[in-house]
Amino acid sequence: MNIEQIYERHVDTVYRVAMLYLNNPQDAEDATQNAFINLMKHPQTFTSEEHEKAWLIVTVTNLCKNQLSHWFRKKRTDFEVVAESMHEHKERDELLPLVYALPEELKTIVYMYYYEGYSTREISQYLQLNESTLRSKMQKARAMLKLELEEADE
Amino acid sequence: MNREQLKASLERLSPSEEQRKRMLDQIHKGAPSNKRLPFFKLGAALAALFALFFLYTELLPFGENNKSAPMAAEAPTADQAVTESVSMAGSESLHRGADYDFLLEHTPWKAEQTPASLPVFAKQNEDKEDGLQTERMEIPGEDYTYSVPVESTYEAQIVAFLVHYSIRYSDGTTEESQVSMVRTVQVKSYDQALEELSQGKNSKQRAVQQSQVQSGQLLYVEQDDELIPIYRFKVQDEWIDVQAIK
Repeated sequence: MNIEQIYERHVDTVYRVAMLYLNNPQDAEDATQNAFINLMKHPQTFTSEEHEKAWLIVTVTNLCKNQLSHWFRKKRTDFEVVAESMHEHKERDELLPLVYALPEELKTIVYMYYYEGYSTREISQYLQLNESTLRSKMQKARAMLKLELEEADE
Repeated sequence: MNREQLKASLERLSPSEEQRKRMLDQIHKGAPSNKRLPFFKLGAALAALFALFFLYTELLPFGENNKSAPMAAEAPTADQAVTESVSMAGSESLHRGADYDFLLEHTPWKAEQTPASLPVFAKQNEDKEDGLQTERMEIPGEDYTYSVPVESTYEAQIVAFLVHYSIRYSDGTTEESQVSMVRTVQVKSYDQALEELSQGKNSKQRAVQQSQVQSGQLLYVEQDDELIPIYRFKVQDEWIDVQAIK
């Protein structure tokens, strides 16, 4: 297993997922590093690059959720970071704040489906979710994002 | 809004080239960056610090034995030290090395800093890793069954459980949910602990007058694989512990 090649392939994906959860570049970097370190410490056998990517997405999602669950982080607010990122979002993007505002349970799903292009079947397999449950979650996310998206490929 | 706009938005979350290089460097070192020391790492560092002090004060008497016979009479033996460490949370008095005394005397706990509650720390469980592998257990309910992959996140010695629930109802539908729990305990105020010390409550020591108390500290001690908070007071060159948990 060449960790550098895997890193090159998936670092952007892993980091973006971490940013979606943590909304803080430094925390996202830590989570990203930890996801790859986990893989180094516990090498996996992957059937494909998609499987490899999905493992990393799930791993970094868990790491982010763990971090968010820590008592100190709930009480901590990085005012400068929040102010800075909100300013950036307002300037450049109206959609990203909506994605940040999604419930945790929907963020990975939205990312995997709309950005990475996984099918609902694949997502349900990787996230161990019932497919009908996943669809209802997708509907909820779509409503929250006010997306006008086609459903033909679902 | 459409799919392309969303994709473009998410693209903006990508790391910069500098970030990519920095993260790769850190991965090669096998550790996350420590640009900011999070509180949970600080907790682990404090626990390690106390462990070091404990080891140091255990070893100190031997060094002092060689230097000074009168001091040896006052210093605890290694066996005594072990016994004391085991019964630490049982409010036994403790004799500590001079440097430890110095540290506590110069960093007395301030009453107004006492929090209403504190977390209880646990030893890190290195066997648990994040990822797809999870330990599952089935919990039968009245009309549903919990299938629970339990990820015990003992990271950095804080007890925090993140439990994912997969609830399967009798009609066949399922629902995913999760809860996270951190075990915290209610903590007495400094004044309350001092009062109990003076009344001889929660301590196997005699009652002491508050005027005899030279300093006090709220700190963590190990008990049953957990680190719990206690108050430690210095009274006439003797350390007396009082339970901090209400």
